[in-house]
Amino acid sequence: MAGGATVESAASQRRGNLRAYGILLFISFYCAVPFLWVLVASFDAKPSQFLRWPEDVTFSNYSNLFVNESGMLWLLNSVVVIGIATIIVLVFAGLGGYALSRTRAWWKAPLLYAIILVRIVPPPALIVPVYKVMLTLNDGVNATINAVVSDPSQALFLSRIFSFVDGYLGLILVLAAMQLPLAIWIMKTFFDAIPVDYEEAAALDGASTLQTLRRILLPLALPGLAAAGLFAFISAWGDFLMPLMFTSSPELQTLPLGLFRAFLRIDRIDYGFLTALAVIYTLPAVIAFSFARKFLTRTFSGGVKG
Amino acid sequence: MVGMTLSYEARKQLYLRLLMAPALLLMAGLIVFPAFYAIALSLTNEALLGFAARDSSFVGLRNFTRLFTDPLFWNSLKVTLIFVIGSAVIGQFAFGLLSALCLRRPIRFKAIFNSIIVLPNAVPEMVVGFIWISMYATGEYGTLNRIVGWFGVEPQQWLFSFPLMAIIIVNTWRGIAFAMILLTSGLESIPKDVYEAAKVDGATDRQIFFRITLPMLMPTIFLYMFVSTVTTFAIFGLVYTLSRGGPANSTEIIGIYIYNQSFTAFQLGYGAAVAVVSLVISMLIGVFYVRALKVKI
Amino acid sequence: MNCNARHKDPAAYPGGGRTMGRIVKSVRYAAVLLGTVLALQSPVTGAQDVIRIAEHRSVRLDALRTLVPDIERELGIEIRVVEYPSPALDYFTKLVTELRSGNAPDVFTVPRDQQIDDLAAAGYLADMSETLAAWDGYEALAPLARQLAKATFDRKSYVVPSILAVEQLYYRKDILERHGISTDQPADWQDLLDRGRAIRDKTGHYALLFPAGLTWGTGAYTEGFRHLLAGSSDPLLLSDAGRYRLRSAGVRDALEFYETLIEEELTPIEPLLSPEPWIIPKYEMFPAGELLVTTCGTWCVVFDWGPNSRNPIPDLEQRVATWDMPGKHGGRHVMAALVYGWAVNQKSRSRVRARQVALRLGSVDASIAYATGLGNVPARLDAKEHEGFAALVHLHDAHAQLTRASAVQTTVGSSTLMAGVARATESLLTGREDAAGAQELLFRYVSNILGDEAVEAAAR
Repeated sequence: MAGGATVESAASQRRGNLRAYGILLFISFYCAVPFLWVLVASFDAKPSQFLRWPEDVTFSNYSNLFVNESGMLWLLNSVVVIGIATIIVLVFAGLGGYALSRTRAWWKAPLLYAIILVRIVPPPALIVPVYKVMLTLNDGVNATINAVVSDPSQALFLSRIFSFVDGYLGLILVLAAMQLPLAIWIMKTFFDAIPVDYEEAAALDGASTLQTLRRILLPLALPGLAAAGLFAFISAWGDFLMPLMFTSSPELQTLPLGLFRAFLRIDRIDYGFLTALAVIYTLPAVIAFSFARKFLTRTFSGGVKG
Repeated sequence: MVGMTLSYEARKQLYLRLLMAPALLLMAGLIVFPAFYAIALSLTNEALLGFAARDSSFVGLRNFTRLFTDPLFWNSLKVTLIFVIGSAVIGQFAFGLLSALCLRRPIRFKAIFNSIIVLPNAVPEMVVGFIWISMYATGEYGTLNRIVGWFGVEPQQWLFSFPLMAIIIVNTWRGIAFAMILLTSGLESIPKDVYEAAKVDGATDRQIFFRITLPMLMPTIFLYMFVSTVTTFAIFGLVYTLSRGGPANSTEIIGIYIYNQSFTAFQLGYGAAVAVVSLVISMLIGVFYVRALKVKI
Repeated sequence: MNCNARHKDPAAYPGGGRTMGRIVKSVRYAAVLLGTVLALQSPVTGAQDVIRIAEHRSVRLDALRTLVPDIERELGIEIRVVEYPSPALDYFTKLVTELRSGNAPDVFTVPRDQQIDDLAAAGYLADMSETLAAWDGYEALAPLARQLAKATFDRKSYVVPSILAVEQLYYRKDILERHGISTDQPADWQDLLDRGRAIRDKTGHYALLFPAGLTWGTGAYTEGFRHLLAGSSDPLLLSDAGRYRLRSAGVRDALEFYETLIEEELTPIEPLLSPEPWIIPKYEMFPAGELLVTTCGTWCVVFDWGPNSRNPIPDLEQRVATWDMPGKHGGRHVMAALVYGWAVNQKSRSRVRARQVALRLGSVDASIAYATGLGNVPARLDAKEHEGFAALVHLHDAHAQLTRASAVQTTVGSSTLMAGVARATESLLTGREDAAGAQELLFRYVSNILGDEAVEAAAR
């Protein structure tokens, strides 16, 4: 089964191909079957937990998502939270990756090794201390809000946005932080491949560093930013732990948590709503991955030369 | 105007430090500091309930003595090990390598096979749990029960009778694509003429695979093993949505154990102690990797 | 797009400007989106106070929503109902983490009275003593409810009682009679176990269920262990100094009872190890007649087996009856628990209003609305004069029992105690420990977490 077929006889080649079809069919079956239920049930007028061919095919599960306010709200929350987190990652990693690539500080090498180690810190090991850090920040936010605003409903509104626990800001920052190590690594390797000459030429022309960055480096860096952004988006979009830890108000719920909680309402599970929403939730990640695929190998072998 | 007296190069170096500051600060604040803070927390009786929630106190190594005598902690280490080996080292790798090798043959429908195999990789953790709960549903109408029914097997309670195997199968399913993509690129980097030469010498397929393909693929395999071990070690949502570590702790991987101790038993100090162990293990893996792969910076 | 742009001239990127334009445009879209989401969150009212109430489980949410319009009108406030996750463990996790952060809703429920001590000691609950003392409903509360609303360490009241769970042994009268097994009140543990053996031998089904194990969570203690402890030879869980007495003969008695149930195969074991251990024994085996006696509260006749439940038992009143829990050496008792008492967040921005809301939720009509959906008993004795009470026929007996019902006193550290009981009983279920080993495990678990000063080291 290895590569070129110059010497291989036609018969053995055919046998090998048949075997390959068999294996690939089996693996594809394994990969595809679990999706059948969620897809079929989302078009079923009376879906259940079991896979079955729908008696009535309907699109109402999908159209109901737009009527059912919570589904739309979770989707919007996800888009906003993950969107802002991804933008933060892009900006921070873009600037940071560039700086790391160009700096000549003596601590460059130790710092880069440190970032590799930071990359592999398992998030579940961080939940306790991060929760404590977020609590401290949150106390500060609440104290500020209480000092500035006296109307409770306005205070509530502000704390929704700026709170570190059960607020947008905290979730966005923690999701961004978790994606940063990989993104900054991607950007750093990327800028390593761009020669310094361009910047120096621009500097000689009297451009400021910021101007150089925007006019010359940004266009060059777009493919790198695309890779970093896609990976950050996929990982943050699919993350379950951070929303579980840091959101509770139904108004703030993002898709994973909203789906999970709705699924736990054992006495009232609406499978049509859940499956349709699960499909909607999955699509952006799958689309993003189809773009990100080609960066995958490069990203993970980045910095590894035997 | 100090800046004026500095050379262009010195100013640029200063400026670069400024540019990396936001990223470094965010990582320091929410990853590095918490990792060290976990050590401090693990030496206290910090809790979310009772008097200790108001003011916790230093308890020395009590959390660690408890941890090393707690059968549930050892159980979670064992479960994690089996989970990582079963899904990342064996399952994903075997299926990924098989797919990569098969897709190199001159066969049709490559693109279709390829996209189907890649599909599970991007699915969010919550959805993974959601659709596999339906796969594993009990009773004769459960999808997996119907499939095994074709072969005359009785309906099973998969998540109850074979819980650890069940989550290994799910995680394998999810990770085939990553292994396949990485190994495909590894296979492509093996020069064609090596094969040609071997064939001229009359080597069999099997010999070619074990003498040439596998050895030359080793760096990629090693890299794959590292990345997949680290990611599998860090898994949480997938197992949480499927089984929450049950039944009877049989799927309580270390991430779930930390969560359960910290946020259902509310013992933050003890949870932090487990987290410290988990951090130490992953750092050891990381250092080993940096050395063994001679990471170039 | 190629990741590797090593040799490309920047001048070859005329698309740079276009890209910028695209970025500006997408930023604009993002801003609109952000605006929409913020608008959805924004405060609608200005003048009125807004009180947030955390509630969970569909039945409870439904009950609350029927009450909200009246309360809003009477108190001139706006109420927002915040839905919390429904499984008991998830609810409590979310509640505690949010209370700690100070962002929890103003008013919420404490699921079980044992949890009041731990929450109050942590400083999460606003003191309700004065509010309750000035309340006209206070004297109407069942004495046990008043007692259980207090924290043990400072004797202050922290919740407004609304409903109580009255817990007894429920048995399948129809099946026992059919097999000629006595349905008389069991005289003592020996009698109860003999009854169980008769059931096992004559029907081939499981006889007795006392909740146990890790996945049942606090239920292993509240719905299982404490019924046994209360009737044991040494029923006090606390010493005079308020320390847990975990090496007592009473704890041993209770664990030995479990051990007997397991060894003699009187109780189903596998279902108790599953993620939702109550589903198979209570929702499936008991209605199907495969499990004949179980501890349960009044909620079972509504929630678990009532006409609207998953597997209703038809003619429930004829088929299912109750025994009091017998003591080890005779005597009998009815256990009660203060469930879902209303508490106020100590960090609430409008505590005064929140207290009024909590009191209003302790009124008779509110507790009857909840009692109807959940199958619990109103905590106020004067509820029986309310017109809605007549319809709750199945609760009348239990409500009348309130004056003789009892509870096992716990103190700060109760959640650790309950987790310890769950572990100890789990170790019996899996056969890893015998009763003595399970008791030692319980002792070590609790003293490890709460410190040696919280437990009595000696047996006495």
